[in-house]
Amino acid sequence: MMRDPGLALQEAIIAGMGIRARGEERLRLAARGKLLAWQQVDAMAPASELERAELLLRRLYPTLAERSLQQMLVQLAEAEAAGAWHGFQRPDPLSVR
Amino acid sequence: MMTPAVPGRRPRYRRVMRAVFDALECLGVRYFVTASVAASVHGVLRQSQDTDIVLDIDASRFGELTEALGERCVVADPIDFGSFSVASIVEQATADKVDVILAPTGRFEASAMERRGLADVPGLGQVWVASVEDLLLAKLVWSAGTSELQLRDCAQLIRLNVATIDRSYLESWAERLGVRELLREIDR
Repeated sequence: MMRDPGLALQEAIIAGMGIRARGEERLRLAARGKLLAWQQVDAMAPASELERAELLLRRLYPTLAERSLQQMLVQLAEAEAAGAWHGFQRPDPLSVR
Repeated sequence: MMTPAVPGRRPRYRRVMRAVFDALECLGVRYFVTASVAASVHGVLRQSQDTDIVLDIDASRFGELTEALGERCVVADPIDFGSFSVASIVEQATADKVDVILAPTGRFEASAMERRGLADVPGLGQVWVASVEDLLLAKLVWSAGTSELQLRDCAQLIRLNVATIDRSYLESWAERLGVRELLREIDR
């Protein structure tokens, strides 16, 4: 397997970060990914919180099994009907570096 | 590589994940975190939106976990993959997700459970994490020899942990799991 010198440098930087800093960076990347997913979903102008939830879950978790997704959507619809769920909380863009 | 929790620090916990770990501890269920979170502990950074946890209970006891979590989550029933099942849990408030791998029954998984280590992981707190050797072996199996990213991670894990990795354990299990050639290839 041929090694990319740029990749080797990136590996060295990441390895040198230490567990805590790497973990914080992983969280930051995840937060940015979530924010991007929200922006994509907003651009699609979903008609309801349930539709927004479906679009969001599909973007965040593209490998989630369809039957698992559908089962979760049924539970969210039930919670919404019972007044216990009003949509996923939107991440604060200012909290994501 | 693993470090104890640092007293006095307050990590930013992702709530659904901490709730799952708390529930597992209350139920006395052994677990370890694997995939991207374990990779970050052992030196490799990968973006991932969810957390993968291996449990040593089978699907019949999954209800105990969901009951302990209460109504804060929506849950997809375990999907059977033969020697193990995978269930997904999403927090109603944040859409954060945890995938739980239930009752992998092989000797490798039992060995990995015995060799797990505690680590203080940002976002999760102090949790049990797969050892670098077991993460590496799992990644070799997941790659099926074709996932460039998984194989690159494996090569990186070896390079970064070369001084501490248990070669004998790694090679022995690579042989038994049918990934010995893959290991040789990435280890050149």
